[in-house]
Amino acid sequence: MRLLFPSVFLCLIFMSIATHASEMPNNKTILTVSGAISAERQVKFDMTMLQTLPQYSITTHNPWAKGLHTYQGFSAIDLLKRLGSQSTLLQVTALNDYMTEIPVSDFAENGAIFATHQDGKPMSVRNLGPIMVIYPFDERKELKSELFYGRSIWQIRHIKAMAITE
Amino acid sequence: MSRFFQGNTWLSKFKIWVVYGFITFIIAITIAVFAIITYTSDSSKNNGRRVFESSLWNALQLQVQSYRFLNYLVALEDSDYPLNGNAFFEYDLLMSRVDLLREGEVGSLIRNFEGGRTTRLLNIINGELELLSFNLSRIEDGDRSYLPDLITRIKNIEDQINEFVTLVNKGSNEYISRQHTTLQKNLNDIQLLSMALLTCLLCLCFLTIKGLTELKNVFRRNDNLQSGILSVHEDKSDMLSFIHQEIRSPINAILGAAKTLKNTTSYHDTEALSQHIEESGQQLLQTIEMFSDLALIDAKKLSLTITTENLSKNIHDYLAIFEPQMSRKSLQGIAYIDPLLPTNIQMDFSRVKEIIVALLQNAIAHTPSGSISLQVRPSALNAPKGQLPTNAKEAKMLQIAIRDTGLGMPNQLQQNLRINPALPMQQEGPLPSKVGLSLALCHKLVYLMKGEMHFSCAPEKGCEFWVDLPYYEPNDNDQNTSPTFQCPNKTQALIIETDTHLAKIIGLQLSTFNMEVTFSKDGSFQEHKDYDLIMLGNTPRFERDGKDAILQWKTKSCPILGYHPKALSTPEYSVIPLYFPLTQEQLEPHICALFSNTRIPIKVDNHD
Repeated sequence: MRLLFPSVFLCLIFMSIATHASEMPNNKTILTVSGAISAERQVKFDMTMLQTLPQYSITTHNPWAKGLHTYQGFSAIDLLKRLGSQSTLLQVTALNDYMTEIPVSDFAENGAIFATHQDGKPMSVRNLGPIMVIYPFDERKELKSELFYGRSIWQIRHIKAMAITE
Repeated sequence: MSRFFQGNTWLSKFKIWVVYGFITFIIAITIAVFAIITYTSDSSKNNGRRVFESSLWNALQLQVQSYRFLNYLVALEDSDYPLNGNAFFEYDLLMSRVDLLREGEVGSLIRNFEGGRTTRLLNIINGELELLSFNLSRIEDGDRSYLPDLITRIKNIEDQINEFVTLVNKGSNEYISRQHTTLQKNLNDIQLLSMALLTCLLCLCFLTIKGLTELKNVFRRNDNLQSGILSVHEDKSDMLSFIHQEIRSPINAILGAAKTLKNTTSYHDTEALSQHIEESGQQLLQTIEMFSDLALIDAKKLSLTITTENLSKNIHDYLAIFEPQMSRKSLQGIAYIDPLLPTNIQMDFSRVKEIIVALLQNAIAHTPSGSISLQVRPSALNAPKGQLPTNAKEAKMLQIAIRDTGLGMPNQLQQNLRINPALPMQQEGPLPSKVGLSLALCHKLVYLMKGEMHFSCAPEKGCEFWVDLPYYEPNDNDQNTSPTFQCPNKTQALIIETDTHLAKIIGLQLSTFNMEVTFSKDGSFQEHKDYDLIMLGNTPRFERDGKDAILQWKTKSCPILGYHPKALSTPEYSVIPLYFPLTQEQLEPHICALFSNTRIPIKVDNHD
């Protein structure tokens, strides 16, 4: 009897981890995450799964779209947290195989997000979707630089989490 | 700031406007520099390079994506069907590149390339690709018959895409070149404006330093003026105290005499008191006139009145004023006028009188007993250059020497009298409160008349003042001579006088009558020697040997002139009496009468 409660508690924990690790997308996969994560080799996400992550929004101008738009999406911090990753750098690949590296600190300190919606609507491939990195350019003028414009990758399909040790 | 330059002329106003101009110029340049820097550093301008690269990048990506799309279509096999939207997915990837080139900053930039050719070309590409969507939808539905036509149409677009990329590349290069040129121009402008700003700042620094220096000088001047004002107030206070002190005694004398007069019935007393009041009144008037003259001199408003008058007569008159005063103190006054001086000269005699009166008063005050001499002789100094008065032939200098055998002046008084107003730091001259009213006025008058005043003083031996004053010789030179009686040659005179100062002056007087003078400084009578004239003065030996000596001289028929009181009081001695002040005018009739049988009037050359 004394071992009943600890046993049940441990079972629940394992079940929870197994649920996250073995969660499979029911719809079309739009994002694959690999690299330094605690689960299997890679984890796939559809839009529904990404929607379960905490959502953030940024309203800003950007050089690739006319006018002011509100972008909604998730943060890499939450994504990595869900995947139990301690990564500090993300290698992000687009549908056309363009690749860039983004420090995880950009999401914590500079307020960047992986936007999945523009003005409340899912972003199509033609509209630089399904996922696009967006920074709050209007809020922080220092972000209007080639460095951050270069990190603003769109049509994201794959993220590789990397833990860089100094 | 304008206060700093006050007191100057148009130059000051010019300086102010220059400073204002510089300040305005500096402000304008600073604004221009900041405006250019802001314009140049604007983020949109900074993004020029990025936009340029993005436009080129996206154009190339369009080309790459078109190839990928073509490859995808070419590589389709039967097993790939149904496509499940993959064809549209590839199509969307291609079209997203077209959209990027048409919209956003890249679209805005390339719109102007090559006069709009890129835009027209992109619209054609877009239109052609949009038309492919029908074929794609058929292929997605599994109708493969549309595939060859689709591939052909995509291949047809390749040339246009290639041309588009070329135009974008060319336009981007031109754009970035223009950006570089603009940036370089802005940098040049900034450099030029910075240099102008630096120059203006240096000029402003110079003007600021100069302004501060002037301000410092103004403050220094202000301090000096403040201390000057304070000093003037102190002087005024001292002067008022001094005036009060000077006029107090004559006023008190008048009031006292008036009070006494009220209760006096005796005619003799009334007359004496009236005279006393008159004298005190005259003294008060003279004091007030002296203060007035001092004030006029300080205000530089005292003008000299040059008149032609007889020098000898005036000098003797001035000396005669003090005869009662000297008699009361038993002082023996004597005057000597050098025969080389002209009889009539041009001077401001009223001012000369004030000078001589002041010096004689000072001599009498410091001489309890003895003698006071007044000599007037030609000066060795050159006359100051200036315009000659009317009827004047030339300007010369004379020297008035007043000597006494008194106690000498106190050191403090001597110190104050040595002030020379010709020196920059001593322009005020001696203060009346320090040297007395009459001496202060005398000092100021001497220097006002462009003369000089010096003195020598020895305790218990007396003082001698030398005053050199300019005078003008009148034009009528022929009448301006002094015929003086001349004794025969080798006429011997003995002066018996123990006061060497007095004896010396008497000797000078007798010399003018062509006499050879022998001094008996110890007062001995030397009756065994033969003389043509005996001048019997003060000698302590008179009581013992005087009578015998006089009898001896009488035996020899030697005339005796004298002023020894006991000799004069004995009629049988037949001493011809002389009175003080002793002058050449007093001696001449006696000498003339004694030696008239050989009278030889001479003409004195007053030029040399």
